[in-house]
Amino acid sequence: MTNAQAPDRALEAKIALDPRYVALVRDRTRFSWLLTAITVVVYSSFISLIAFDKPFMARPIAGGTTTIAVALGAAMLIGTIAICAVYVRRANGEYDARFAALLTELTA
Amino acid sequence: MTRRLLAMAGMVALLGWATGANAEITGAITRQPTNWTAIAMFAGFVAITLWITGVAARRTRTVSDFYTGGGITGFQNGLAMAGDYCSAASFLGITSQIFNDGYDGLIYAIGFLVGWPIVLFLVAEKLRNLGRFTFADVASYRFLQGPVRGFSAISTLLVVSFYLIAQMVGAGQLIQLLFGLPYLYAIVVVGGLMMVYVLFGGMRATSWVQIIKAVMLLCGATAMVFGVMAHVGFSFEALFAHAVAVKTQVALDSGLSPADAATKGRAIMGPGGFIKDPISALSFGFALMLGTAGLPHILMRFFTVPDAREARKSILWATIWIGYFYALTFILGFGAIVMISFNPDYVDAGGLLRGGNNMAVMHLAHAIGGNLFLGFISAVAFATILAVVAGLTLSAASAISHDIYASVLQKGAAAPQKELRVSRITTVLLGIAAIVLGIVFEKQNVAFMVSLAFALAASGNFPVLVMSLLWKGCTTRGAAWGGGIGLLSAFILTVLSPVIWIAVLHFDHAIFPYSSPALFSVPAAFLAIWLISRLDQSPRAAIDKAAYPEQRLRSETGIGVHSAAAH
Repeated sequence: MTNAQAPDRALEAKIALDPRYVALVRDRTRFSWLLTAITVVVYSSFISLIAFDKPFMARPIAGGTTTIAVALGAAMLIGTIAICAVYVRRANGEYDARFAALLTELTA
Repeated sequence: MTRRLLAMAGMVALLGWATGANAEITGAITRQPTNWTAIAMFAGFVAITLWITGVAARRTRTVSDFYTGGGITGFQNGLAMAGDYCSAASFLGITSQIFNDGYDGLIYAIGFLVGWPIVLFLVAEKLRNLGRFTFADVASYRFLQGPVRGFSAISTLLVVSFYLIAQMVGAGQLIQLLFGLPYLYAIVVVGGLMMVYVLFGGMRATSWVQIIKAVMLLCGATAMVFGVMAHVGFSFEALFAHAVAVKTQVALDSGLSPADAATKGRAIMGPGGFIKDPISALSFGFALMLGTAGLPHILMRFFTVPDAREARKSILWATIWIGYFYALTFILGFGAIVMISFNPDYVDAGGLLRGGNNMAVMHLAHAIGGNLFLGFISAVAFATILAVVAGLTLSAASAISHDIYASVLQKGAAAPQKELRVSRITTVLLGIAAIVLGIVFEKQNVAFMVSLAFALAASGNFPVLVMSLLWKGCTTRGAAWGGGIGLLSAFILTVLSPVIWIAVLHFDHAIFPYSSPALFSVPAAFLAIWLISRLDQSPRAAIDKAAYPEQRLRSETGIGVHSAAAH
């Protein structure tokens, strides 16, 4: 890799050791794993329902033709978009702002 | 030079068209009368995209331009990702599956979508912060380049091959139905145009082809859904009730008793025989979910945006458009049940779709808006195939030229022009391979072929990427061998499973009983990477582990990486 400018090792070391940076990485990592876990658990439950209890999924809602399976499927589509929106909002807002503030202070 | 070659490619395509019109066809495929509306619309799309390719070719000066297109916004990239993802295989395959089995098709769609949050939460921003052109840049960041890039390139080529086959088969069936061309000629046209886009326009042209096509596809599908909903009075309940009634009538006509027919009709509203046993179901679900985070042509899209912030936005937009698209395909599948089931123009006496078993949505387009609308949707579907195969080919070509040739063989010291030439030669070879494979796999269900690609991506690329990014103990040996074991186990189990062993190779009993290997091969890969890394006492292992803190800082902050990319 040919770097046009040598990376600023001193600054990198300062960032890596700063407790606010450590806290930021910990918060963001924890948040992303939490959302990952939610996604995996919800999706696994959905697939397990399909695999283990087809009669439940095929049950009509309110005596109509629409079934629980259809409603849960729609909820899966909407929920997937929603959980992405939650993460992007927080990462591009709070987390980016925290890091920008830290960087400004350390380079000042 | 470029212009003359473009003109030649155009002539070759036209020549194939003209001679194909007289060639004889075989099998049960019904060739439709030549549809000039569709041909004109498709020609218009090709003209616009070739013009873009020409513009892009003039502006593609560096290797970086060729691979990344020089930077687009998160919104544009999100549309392009949706374009890559909402392939013709999804559009034709899922709607046809819903037409045949009802609800089961939605299980595919949800699995495809649910991978995106995983990509977003675990790998997207780190990929953008560390990488330049291919995901191997990231996977091999702190490792010895040879083994890890070698593994990544092999894996990329395997995944891309299966995905390509699905696209080519879809293209062949579509053109057969619509333009009255034999399968062979359709495949040659797709392969030829795809080579032109990638050869001359690189990533910039491929991105814009994707964006234009994604907008066309979303608009076209929205219009069709409007047509379906107008037919049933804008009531989902009425749509479903109507579809159940149709399926019941079909079952009655086939000689079932009224009670059995009613059961069969209602079956389309719930999960059915598509997922036969729980193990296969979970395994299949995990292949779809984790495979997205390992698809090389999707991962490559993270390097076309300037920073991690835009990379996150890309995924949110991609998820929105893809989720919307799958909601549309679900309605279209049920719309097809309602509107084409009893029409002998679309369905033969045996209840099978005319023109091949992936054509439900095309017939529906004709039922809704006649030849003009069929022409538009066909043009869109064909454009979809072109755009997706172009993206796939670009990712495979960069695996060869950037990962193998420039980084491994030339140790990072390749002349940029030579690297570009290697990627162009690779593109031509891939184009030829795609045409041949498309012919060999003509009779396979295309949606299933896509799921094969996902299983390989989930078992090979995903574990290596996650472990190299998130685990400091990972070593070169662990990543290369562990990933290889994941890939190999997924491949072998797939060959031994019923879908290949019985359906393709015609043995009586499958050796591996489940239809998807991911539930076994993904943990096998993680375990292998962990175990081999732990046992690795080589001097290189110490270097790999010592380099983790620096990689971690860069992957979290992007510091020192932007300057590296703008060389």
